[in-house]
Amino acid sequence: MGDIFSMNGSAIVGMAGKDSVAIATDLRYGNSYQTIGTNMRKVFRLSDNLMVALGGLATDIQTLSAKLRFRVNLYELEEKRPMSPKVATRMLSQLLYKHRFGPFFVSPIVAGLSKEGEPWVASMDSIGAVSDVDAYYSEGTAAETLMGACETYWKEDMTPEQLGGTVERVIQAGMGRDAFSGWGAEVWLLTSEGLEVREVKTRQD
Amino acid sequence: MATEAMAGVPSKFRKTGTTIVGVLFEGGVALCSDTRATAGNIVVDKNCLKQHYIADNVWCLGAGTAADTEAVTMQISHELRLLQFETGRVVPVTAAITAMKRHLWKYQGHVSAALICGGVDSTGAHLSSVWPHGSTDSLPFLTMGSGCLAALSVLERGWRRGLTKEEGVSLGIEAVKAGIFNDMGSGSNVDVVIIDGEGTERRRNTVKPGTESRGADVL
Repeated sequence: MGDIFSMNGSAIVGMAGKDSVAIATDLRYGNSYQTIGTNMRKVFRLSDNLMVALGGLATDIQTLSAKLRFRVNLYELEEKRPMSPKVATRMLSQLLYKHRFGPFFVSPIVAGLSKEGEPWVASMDSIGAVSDVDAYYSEGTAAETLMGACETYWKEDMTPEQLGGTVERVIQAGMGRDAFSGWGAEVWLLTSEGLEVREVKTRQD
Repeated sequence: MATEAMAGVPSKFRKTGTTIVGVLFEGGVALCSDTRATAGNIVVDKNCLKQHYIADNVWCLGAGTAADTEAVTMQISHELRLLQFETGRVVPVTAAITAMKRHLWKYQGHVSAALICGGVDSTGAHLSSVWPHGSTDSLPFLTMGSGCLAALSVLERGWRRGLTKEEGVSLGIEAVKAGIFNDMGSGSNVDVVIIDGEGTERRRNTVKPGTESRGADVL
């Protein structure tokens, strides 16, 4: 695929459980079929209870994550309160739509916990069309296969332990059927206790 | 509309494949939509909302690129709120339609939002469609989106002058169901907004035809 979205390759999945949310991403940084790096982080913790994962073009992932961090920090300094995941979703959406006719080539997933501890996951396209009705979203070159894995593995009201295990199985299964993502993965599990980041062993091919 | 199916290149932007329908009845207007959102051949949202708030007395249905329908309706909603503060009156439906067509015309069709706008004001019930290039139609029954052909056949057969509220609503629902079953870009449930002199009533997921097996009710 000569598509700009799939030049670098990525697999990201976000899922909500009971009082917890998790994001899993791959670690590959590639140039079409050539693998350049195996330690590219695609999740960003923008606040204590807020994570954003970005799939798509690597340069835009990095530019956008910096822009987002700047905006969230400024908001929290001005407002003297953490940014809720709902507000972060809106903010990212309008930031993307601002570039309607020259977009950032990214597919974001926003996940976090509200002040009341309610889990939140949402995804959007590269120009900010938000979808927030489901409990799981997948993006990147492996989006289709990840979605299939989510449909079968997801259960209602998973405990944090179950949720962590589920996203790990989802990323393993979904990534394995995508040529452009893989080479290691990480799971970010957010609960009221805090954030747990875990590296996952995957196939190295 | 053929935009998404053209050249066989699936778009990376999210579209609301869509069947949207507007029906005028005696004293009001019913707006009905499906709830499927697609990106290429993938169903990205099985229960999305295509109804957009413009004002208490004006609602809009959107088809086309999801981000555009959302952005346009939100901008026009804000514009109309300011107009309402300035004039201190219930905003006329035509003001919403004019604001939409001016915005879309300015962008020469690049903002791909196809809208059906309906509402009630001091001059009665109104229904208009607004096309991505900024043209408008004002008709007693309207449909847009990729399922418009299926929906239109139902509307042409079923619409008549002097429909009651419930007759109008069920005609709209039947038209959207035709889209859900016969157009692959449309699917899942039917949402309805009804605006009449009494106020606005919203019926979310009023029928879930996608979960029924195909039976005599469809044929």
